[in-house]
Amino acid sequence: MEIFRFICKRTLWSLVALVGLSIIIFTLSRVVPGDPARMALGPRATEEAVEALRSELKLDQPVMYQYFHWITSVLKGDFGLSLMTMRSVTDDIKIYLPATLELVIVAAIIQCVFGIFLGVLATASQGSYMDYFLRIVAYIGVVTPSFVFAVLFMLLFGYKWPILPVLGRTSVGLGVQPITGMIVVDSILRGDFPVAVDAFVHLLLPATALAMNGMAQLARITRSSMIDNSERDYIVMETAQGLSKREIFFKYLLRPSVIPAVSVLALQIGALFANAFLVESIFNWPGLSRYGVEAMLFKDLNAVSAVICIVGFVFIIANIFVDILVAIIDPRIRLKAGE
Amino acid sequence: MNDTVLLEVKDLNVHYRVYEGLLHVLNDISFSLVEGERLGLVGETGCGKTTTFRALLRVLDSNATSRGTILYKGKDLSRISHPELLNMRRTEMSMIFQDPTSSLNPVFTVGEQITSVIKASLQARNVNLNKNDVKNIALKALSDVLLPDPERIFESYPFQLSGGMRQRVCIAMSVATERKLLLADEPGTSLDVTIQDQILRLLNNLVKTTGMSVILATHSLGVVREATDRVCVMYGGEIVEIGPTRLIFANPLHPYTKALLACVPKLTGEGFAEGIPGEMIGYLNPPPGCRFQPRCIFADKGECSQRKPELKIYEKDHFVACHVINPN
Repeated sequence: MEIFRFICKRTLWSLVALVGLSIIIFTLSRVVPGDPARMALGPRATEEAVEALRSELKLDQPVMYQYFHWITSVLKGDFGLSLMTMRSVTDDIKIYLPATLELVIVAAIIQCVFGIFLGVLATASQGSYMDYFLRIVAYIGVVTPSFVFAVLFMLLFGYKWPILPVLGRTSVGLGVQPITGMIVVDSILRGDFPVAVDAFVHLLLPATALAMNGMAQLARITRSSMIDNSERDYIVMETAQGLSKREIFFKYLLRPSVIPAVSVLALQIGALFANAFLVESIFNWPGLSRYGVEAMLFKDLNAVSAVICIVGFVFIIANIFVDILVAIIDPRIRLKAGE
Repeated sequence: MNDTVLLEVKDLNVHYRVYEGLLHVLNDISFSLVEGERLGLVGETGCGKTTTFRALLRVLDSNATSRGTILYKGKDLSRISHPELLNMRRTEMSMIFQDPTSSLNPVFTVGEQITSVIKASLQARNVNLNKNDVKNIALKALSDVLLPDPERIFESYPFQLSGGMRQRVCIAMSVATERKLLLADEPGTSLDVTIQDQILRLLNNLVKTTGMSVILATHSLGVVREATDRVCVMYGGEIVEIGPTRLIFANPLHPYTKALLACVPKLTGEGFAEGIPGEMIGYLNPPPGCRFQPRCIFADKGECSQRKPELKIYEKDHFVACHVINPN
């Protein structure tokens, strides 16, 4: 019951954040120099044509009016026309968002599971060679940009030992009628398991490359918080009461220690979207991050606002999700929020 | 109380390695305890009471090293195997921790924690009980320490309870299953006097009915007088005086014990007690002689500052470590 109240409260605050985000996005997209209409039509277009496009885009109206016009159509799911592809931005996003979502979700799961696992492993082998080895691996993981991992993985697993596919979302000729747009999910929903496996295998390399930074960070955070907590009074007390090492380690020490790691995950989801751009480019992954950067270079206002809006929205949803996860693990947050 | 020796500590030393060097905390502590005895451990904060307890249960921090022998029922605790150690903690000895706010795991309910402890203890005794029986033992332990509404406490998280309630939960955890020796580290500090009194009565009852022994660390001399048979007075990681409670109060020998007794506020309420001038020694470079010497008004310049005084017998069962006091 208290968890339900927590979720409601958390969601309401997120709505406030979303309104703020929309204002910031809109303002930023209108204050950047340069004339979008001129960019769209090219230097040879006549002044009349540019003027016509400007009034069609409502660029000649007061800023307040532009914002309300924009936000009402956004709420109806209409982000306007992309000046880059000359198609509805909403249609473009329907294609690109699921691809990135799929990538980011799998990367988040990989980094959470393996990051915490490696942290636990390092703690359990504290002071041994394993611990030092994991420490070096983690440092390398933190300092190496994800596109380096992407290229490295491609060379190793696509070229040297060609065991995993390195390009695209599925093998040529395979596909599935979209429901959510996420191929793994869709093919499972439609019962087409060979395609699901194929799409999942295609996800492995880009998702792992994307997950490496965060995974290394989570491993370090988990290790340090476990070691910190292991000399807390309650652990000493539980040891003194004769609880087994295994029960103390995996129950009483692990649970309070994963809280900081899970909280950091919320921030890392933002970093995943940012890093996804390079990884998507390298693995030829038709994702939203790549679309967004291209739109920015083209000064495609509607597309840029839409991408930032969507990414911000997903980021907020992910944060709610992580907060709920933390609240489930940590009763102090869950119960105090209900007061 | 019979005369079977339960615990014998000989020349126990504990050092902590810190950034600045080595802290020589416990310095050749020796004492013994017979079955059913209630021993008080008195001294100001930082004198090594908690360290002594943690050394007994072998739960010192990772930067600590200990040396010396601890014989429990004739067995050297520093040499027993890990399973034996677990068994010892589960059935023989338990400790009530001092700080109730940090001694309970913040993300598990009181019930989960106390049942874990009870289960471990039952397992070591080869007793198999179902979930409900274990819960009943826990609820009984919680009501034994006078917690109102044990069912609710059982379901609560530590942060939902007051300091005094948490302390009683800690006590309940330690006495939920039978033990031979209870190490009580200031079990009354965050309790009301009325409740503290009842907790001491509970411990006394356990001593009487189960033949349990208690070592009670406290800085409250009132508690010591009421609830112990014998007292160890500690100063700066050393035992300075040890003897039957009655004799310590009637005839304190060591200058520190005398000063400590003089600090107790009188009910007649005439002004403040004097306190003991000076401060506790640093453990980094403790003086080579008597550790109380820098604060002692009777100390002479020679022997006191150079040679550590040994515990000498003064009268029957009453020992003191002081160069100034001479046995008659």
